[in-house]
Parts: sequence; structure tokens; C-alpha cells
Amino acid sequence: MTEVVQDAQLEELLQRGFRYALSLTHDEDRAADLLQDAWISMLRRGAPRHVGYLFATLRNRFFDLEKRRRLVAIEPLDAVSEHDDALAFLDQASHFAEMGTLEKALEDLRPAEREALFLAAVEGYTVREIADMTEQPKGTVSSLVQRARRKLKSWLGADRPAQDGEASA
Amino acid sequence: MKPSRQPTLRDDLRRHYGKKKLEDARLSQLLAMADVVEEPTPSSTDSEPAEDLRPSGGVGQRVWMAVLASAALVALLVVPWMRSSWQSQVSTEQLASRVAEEIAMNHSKGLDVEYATGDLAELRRHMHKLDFALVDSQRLREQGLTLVGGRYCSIQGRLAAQLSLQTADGDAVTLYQTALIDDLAGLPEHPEGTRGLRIELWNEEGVFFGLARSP
Repeated sequence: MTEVVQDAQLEELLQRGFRYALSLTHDEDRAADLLQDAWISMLRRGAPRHVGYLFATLRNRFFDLEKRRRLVAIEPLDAVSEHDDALAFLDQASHFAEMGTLEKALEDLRPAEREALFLAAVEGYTVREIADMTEQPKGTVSSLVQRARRKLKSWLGADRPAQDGEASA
Repeated sequence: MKPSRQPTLRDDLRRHYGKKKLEDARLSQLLAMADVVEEPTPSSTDSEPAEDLRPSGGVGQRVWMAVLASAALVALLVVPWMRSSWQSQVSTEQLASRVAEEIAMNHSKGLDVEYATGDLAELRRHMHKLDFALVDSQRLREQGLTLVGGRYCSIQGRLAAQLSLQTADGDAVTLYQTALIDDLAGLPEHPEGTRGLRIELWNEEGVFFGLARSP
């Protein structure tokens, strides 16, 4: 994760940062504010303008603010034995598009769960890479995505009609 | 005809987030900031700066001069196309309303200061991107406001500084300063549409001031 972004690619960098911030906040206004705050911090420190620094700065500022607001809920994590299989559910059939409930389902996730899901599904990082980026154990990352999976599945299972012979997330 | 593949959760998530975009105005602001800041050099660490002036929890010293100076908002420069855009499309009243709205929004966020101090000289040392002399506002000198600290922010695409103050009753007041440019000169002092806050805009000694407080 050491892409060096040329000036012409700053716009794409910022848009990626916005989407990542949105995975944390699940609120576009807050995501824009978080991005601005992080960007100013990066510029002030003279940090390299690439995705690694931007994501790290966004993450640090988000969770630091959440801690100050005492909004970080502590939930026990489940043990996950196989980290590599933790993301396999992402490539199973999904019915969110036809149901139009993905936005609400994502709202149900904790920021850390949504973040892990975003980094895996949208940015394409592995569990190990996410663990390195977020400075968490691989087991923690795996547990987060699995919890996200269960919560999303509850949205699908509650509303959609049963389909025979169909594997779903 | 072969039926299309059932979308996966990965597909749905990518489509969902792929549609989300930072609005053009905010993107322009961030890009403009990058234009005015020196080209970054590789950093050996991505940690926050060594100095840590996090708020201690108490109110700063009762030094109004220090507050004004340290909180100084720096409008370093405006991207030329943005400047010409303002001049050709935005009236004075519209610009004042936009500036007031932005000040009110930033005030309402209640963001923590980056540098907690009541001393002007100390804050000036830390906010070293200032490119103009801070002004001790005659207008505010006798209001007995206390400095809490300051942070960088932006006003209409310009890198700016935001000062957090408190009244004697403990009410929050937010002050912005920026170098006065033509577009900001002559704005109405009490613009409309400010989220129920009291917003004041004025100029003193080559500096543009914006103040936000509860009515």
C-alpha cells in the first residue's frame, strides 16, 4: 500500500478517502468533515499524499473522536480459526440490490465492522492487510467481518422470500 | 441467452460505495488547500506531530490578545479559477451568506482545538503557516473573552484558522481570522441565514474577522 499519487490523481485519492470515511461514519456530512480534518492534518504535517497515510489519518481521527464522545461500544469478539476464509462470503450471491436495503443494513453495523467490510469488499484488501492497516490482530479483523456478515444476513433472511438451492451471504 | 450472474455481496457493496462522492464544492476546497501547501517530503512516520497540546480540560488564560493572535485563521491563497468564479458569479450578499454559513457550521461542529493555549505567541509558533501579522481586535478587546485554543480549518476553500474562546459565563465563541482580500472586503456585518447563531463579519488592519456565538 505505497502508492504515490501524482497531482492529477489527488481527486481520486480524496474520493477514496471520502468513501473510506463514509464506511466509518455512515453519514455523508460527517464523512466530508472527517476527510477535511484529516486532509488538513496531513498537509500540515507534510505527510506523503497517498492512500496509506490518508486512511491511517482518517481512522485515527475517527476513533479518537469516538473515544472522546464515549461512543465506542465494547463487544466481545468471537474466535475465528481460519482468517483466509473469513472473506469468502463476499463472493456469494446477494439480494441486497433487489431489496434496496443495503443502506439500512450497513447502518446497523458498528463502525469497525463497516470499516473492515469496506476495506475487504470495496478496497480489496486481505485480512492480513486490513490487520496491518488498522493495527489490529488478524483474529479481530476476521471476527469483525464475520459479525458484519451475520448482521447483514439477518436483514436478508428477515425480508426476502426463500429461494431453493441458493447460497447467500 | 445465458442468464446474468447473480450479484455478490462484494458487487453490491462496491456499487453502493461507488455511487458515493464528495460534493464538488468540498472537493475543490481540499484540492485548493493542497495547491497552497508545499510539496510534501517523504515522512519517516505517519504519526501525529511530536508536540501535543491537547486541552487540559481547563479554561485558558484571560488573554484576549493571545486569543486573537493564536487563533489566527490563515487564508493563504485562493485558486485563481475559484477567485474569478467568485468575482463573476457571486454577489456580495451571496458571498457573505456563504461565509457566514460556513462559519456557523464550523462553530456548530464543536471540534476540539489542535493547540490548547491561552498565549498568542505560543500559538503563533505552532501555527506557523500564518503569513500575516495577527491583529488584536479593538472590537473584541473589552469583551473579556478567554482563549481556549485554535485549529486549522478552511473558509471558502482557503486554509484558515479557527479560535475557540469562552465568555465569562462559559459560553463558546468561535473566531476566525484570515488575511483580507478583495472578495472579503465590504461584506455586510450581519449576514442572514446563520443557523440561529449570531454571526459578525468585519475587517481590521488588513485582517478579515468572523465571529460566531449563540444569540
